[in-house]
Amino acid sequence: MSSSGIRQVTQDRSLFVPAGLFLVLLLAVAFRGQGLFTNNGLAGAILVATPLILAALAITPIVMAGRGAVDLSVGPLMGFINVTLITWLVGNGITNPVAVIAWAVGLGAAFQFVQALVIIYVRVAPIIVTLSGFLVLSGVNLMVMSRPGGVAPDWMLSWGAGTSVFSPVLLLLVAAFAVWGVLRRTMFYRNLRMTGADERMAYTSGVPVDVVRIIAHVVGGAFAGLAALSYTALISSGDPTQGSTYTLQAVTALVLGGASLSGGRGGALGSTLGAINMFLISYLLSTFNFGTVSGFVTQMAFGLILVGSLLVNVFVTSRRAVA
Amino acid sequence: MRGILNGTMGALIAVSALTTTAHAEGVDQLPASEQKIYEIVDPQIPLGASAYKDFKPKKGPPWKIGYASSYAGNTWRAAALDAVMNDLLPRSKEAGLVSEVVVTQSDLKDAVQIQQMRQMVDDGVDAIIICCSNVTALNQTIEYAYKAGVPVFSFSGYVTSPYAINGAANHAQGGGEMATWLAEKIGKKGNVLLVSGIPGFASSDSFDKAAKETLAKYPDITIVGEVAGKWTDQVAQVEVQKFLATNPAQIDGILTQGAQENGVLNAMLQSGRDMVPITLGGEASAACYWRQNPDWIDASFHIWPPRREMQQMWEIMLRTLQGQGPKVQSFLRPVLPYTIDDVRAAIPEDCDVNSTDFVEPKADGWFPAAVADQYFERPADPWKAVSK
Repeated sequence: MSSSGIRQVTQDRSLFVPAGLFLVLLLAVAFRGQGLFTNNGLAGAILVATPLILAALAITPIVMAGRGAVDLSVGPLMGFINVTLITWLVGNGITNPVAVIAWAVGLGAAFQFVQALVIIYVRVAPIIVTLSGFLVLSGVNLMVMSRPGGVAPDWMLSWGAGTSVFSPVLLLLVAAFAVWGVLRRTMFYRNLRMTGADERMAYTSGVPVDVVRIIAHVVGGAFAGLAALSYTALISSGDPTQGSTYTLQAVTALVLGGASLSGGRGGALGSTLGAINMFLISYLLSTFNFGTVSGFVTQMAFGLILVGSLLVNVFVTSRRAVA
Repeated sequence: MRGILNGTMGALIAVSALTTTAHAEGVDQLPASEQKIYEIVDPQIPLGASAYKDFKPKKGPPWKIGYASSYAGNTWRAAALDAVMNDLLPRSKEAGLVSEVVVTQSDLKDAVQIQQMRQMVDDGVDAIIICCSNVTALNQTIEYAYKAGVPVFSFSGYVTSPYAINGAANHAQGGGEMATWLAEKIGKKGNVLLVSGIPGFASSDSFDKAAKETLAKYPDITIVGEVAGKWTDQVAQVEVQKFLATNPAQIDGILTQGAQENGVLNAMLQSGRDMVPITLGGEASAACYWRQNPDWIDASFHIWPPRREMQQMWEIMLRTLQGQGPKVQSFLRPVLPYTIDDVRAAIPEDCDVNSTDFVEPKADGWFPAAVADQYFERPADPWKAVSK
């Protein structure tokens, strides 16, 4: 994984900026204190960052398929899986791990399958479809669970303790990477990139673009299921509104990771780096004590780092286009 | 679907049964006058005995305190933070009790708040203060802090973790009292607009739940709309304006949560409609309008005075760190009604209708030391300077 990862970074210019930012942030965090590089620090980092990494992964294949398909519904979808899992499954005594995981992954995939069908056959712009998904699910979540409550299944409670690096949460992350690694070797992945880069050309070359788009959504939905599981482990309960905050964060992570919102360019490594960078920025800013102005300084610094790295990113990628 | 519903109901009944038994352990140790405050209460609020009865801090004093705030974008949070940095911290420093306060902001993102709290624990703070957060999402993190010997104090809102100490006004009772006042004020009949805070947040939901239950007792009163003001004047103003613009129906009264009533008031003023009674929760700006129009309403309520609630939590924290042994998990205060005379005493006649401050109870009026003593096993003056 790591050696092929390094090869990808050296070959793909769009990964220069996220990888560079990652190193800079890591150094800065190390300089500010050793807290992150202890067993508990790392375990906590994995626990907190995993839902965001998986959410970013969940929207990656969909955005790669082109048509400006930024999946806005991912946050509420995570929330939907979270609240149904807590209310409908655990609330009725269904706590079998296999059932819970199957429910999460299946529900995510099923929802994205439906969205894909609407996008392809009703021919509505993807951003409108996923925005509708966002709004509908935000409302439905509050109907399923009107306020935070409930508890995660017993076996999942220990996941959220965050005292061991090699936790089941890390396993979810590894599982997602493994799935992605397998996908990369298939014909589907090549077709996905072709569809995203130029759908018309892909179609005339005999790529089944509709099937590619459906698979991209289903894979994304399955990742959203994993993201919802890690999110449920993090908060160990149900929450109808917090999931929605992940949409904006996931899209930011995606862009920060060098993906193009118009499709074609992007990948798991970039999105992961983007999400980890967002975590590190937030971690780094928390090590400073800004006193009474902390709220504004933190948000401003966060925004400035984002804008800065996006500008550098644009510069690097546009130079490639000229060269 | 029916099965799901039954299951949920069963779970709810089980939970409420649990709270009644828990009630018997913690709150029953309090004197009768204090027990009364706990009569109408949000069933989710933990009322058991505190996990910190025999707590001793790892070290100190002086202690290092973490304040993991979840939001910074309104006047209420600004006032609470100001109370810490410019009043409580300097006084505690002088007494040799506290060395430093670390402040973080998570912008309403639970995951970020979890990360910041864990970071504080790993960095070696002695106690963490949080505010009116998500009631369940932080529980694992609070347990993580507890295991590291760091107690977590939630002010102006509760969390359900057995390892936290909560301190707040009884927001359910507050919602009920403000709803009763409004209903009586408008003659027990008419259309009411409900302006909620942040749905999903502890104090907001407790307030709404009790307010709706109270209004339901008046058959001639209809809740014609419900908007969320996010405890921010500007948000409340936009939301109420939108509602008034799209709903031509008569509104007879507005039941709003505190820390946003001036936005509601401004929206009403801008709409050109006749002014109706609005519940006030202590904003100096809306109180100023009341001072200039004394016939508008006849009472108002301190429901979550930011500086006093912060001071209450701060004193509970000092006492707990001093090993005084809190008796209960949740310290509830009754909402305090106040009148136009209190407003006249608090703000001048040429007051500012755009003030961002709050009219608050007197320093010792919210959580008097004599009352506080009854909540601890081994009471003592929390502000007594440490002998060097």
